[in-house]
Amino acid sequence: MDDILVLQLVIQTICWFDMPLEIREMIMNEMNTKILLKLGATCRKCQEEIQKSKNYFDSIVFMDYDDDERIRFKYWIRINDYCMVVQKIDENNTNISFEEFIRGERVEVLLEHRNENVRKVCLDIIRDYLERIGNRLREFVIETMNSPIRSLLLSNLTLRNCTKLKELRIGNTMRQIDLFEIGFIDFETIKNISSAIEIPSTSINFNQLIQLRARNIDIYYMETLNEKDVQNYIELWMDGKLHSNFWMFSINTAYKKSLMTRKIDIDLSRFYFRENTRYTSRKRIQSRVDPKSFLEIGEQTDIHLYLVVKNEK
Amino acid sequence: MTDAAQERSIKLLSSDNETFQVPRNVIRLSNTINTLLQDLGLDDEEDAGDAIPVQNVTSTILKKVIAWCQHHHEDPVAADDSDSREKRTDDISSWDVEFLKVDQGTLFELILAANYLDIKGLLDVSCKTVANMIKGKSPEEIRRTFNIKNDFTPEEEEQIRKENAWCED
Repeated sequence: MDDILVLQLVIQTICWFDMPLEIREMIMNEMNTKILLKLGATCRKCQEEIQKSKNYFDSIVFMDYDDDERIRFKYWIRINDYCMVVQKIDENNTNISFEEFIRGERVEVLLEHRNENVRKVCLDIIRDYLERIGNRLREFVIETMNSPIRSLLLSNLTLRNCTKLKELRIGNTMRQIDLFEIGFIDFETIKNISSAIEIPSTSINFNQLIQLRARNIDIYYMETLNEKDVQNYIELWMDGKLHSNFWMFSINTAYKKSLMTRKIDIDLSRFYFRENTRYTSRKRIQSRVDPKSFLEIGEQTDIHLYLVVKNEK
Repeated sequence: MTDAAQERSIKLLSSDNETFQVPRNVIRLSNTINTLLQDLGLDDEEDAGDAIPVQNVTSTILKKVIAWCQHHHEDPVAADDSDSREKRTDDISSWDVEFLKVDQGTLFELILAANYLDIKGLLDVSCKTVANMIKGKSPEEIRRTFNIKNDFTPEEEEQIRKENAWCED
């Protein structure tokens, strides 16, 4: 009888690793973080596979930099059901505590989790983080990838501590004008912050733009919302009515198409283009490219394309 | 695909040489078979001819796969929202729960077959079932369930236990 039972168990139980990796990944893709962590606690190989899983780590990334601007380490915060685990990813793949982590001086935060609850948790973490560490940071960068997250940030986040930072950079889709509106930041503060201002064309008129220029603000970012506004801004810039460093970016497909079809009659050779990927955003490489390259880049809708207009006079 | 084609049957040949006659509108859930028929220009043919070999699937499993397709072939086509959906493993229909009450080896073979035949619904539900087998279990129980060998040192295991304390049920 015992023999029969043992035989039955052997037949019914197969090894997890007998399944192809592709299948294991599919199964892991169906697991939430709690289940994944349980699986990862069984053996080294499981843990490694889970840690490599995009699914597992796409929640939120903190990056800390050393003095040479190299990424010193990354923290992947795994969030699920209002809980979190922070893991330091470095050469030794050593775990350290969240407290140790937040000693970093310069931090970049990316928010792009698909689950709204997770995004809310991320905001809580950031808020808590800034309250404790904000004044000690040299730079705090927030990158968000879509407007729901942006709305969440704007309606939830209090970054007042950050006004004391030497540099505050708001990521590519944060609309600075919204920050004015909610009283987070004022023009004077912006004057003292050397980096970017993003101006949505629907929320600011040309007179306001000129006023900003009079305040000696270096760089403008503009989220292009419609073709007509874009053309107006470009004309202003071409006429020398805008600040010499007028930067514009667009992730607006319609606008890219307009450029590609040359509905907007501008000299593309005077444009700089830059491509932003999430982890290179701190060191954006500007390069002058052939307009044809832009047309090629512009056809890719899955990247964040920057169109940078820079006056060379 | 025309209505006439929907009503027709095709023959599938399992890896152990058993032939199955399957209504076309049932096997349409397999993207692999659909593509094959289209590529060979057999989609609108009255007689699809010889049996299509399904080399990686045994007759036992193929029978199960066909039964699943038979039950689900009139289901509405689900939107492909895999990137945005919330991860859930508690949304398996009661019919599927019963259907997948099989031994572990059969379940894994079903997953492999669903993957090979590209039957998304079956693949999803069978993967979720495996995920559920882990739910609520301790690491040691998971090891026993899936024949996983523990290669952590006691110190490492303790460290992991501390880190994962928040996810204990």
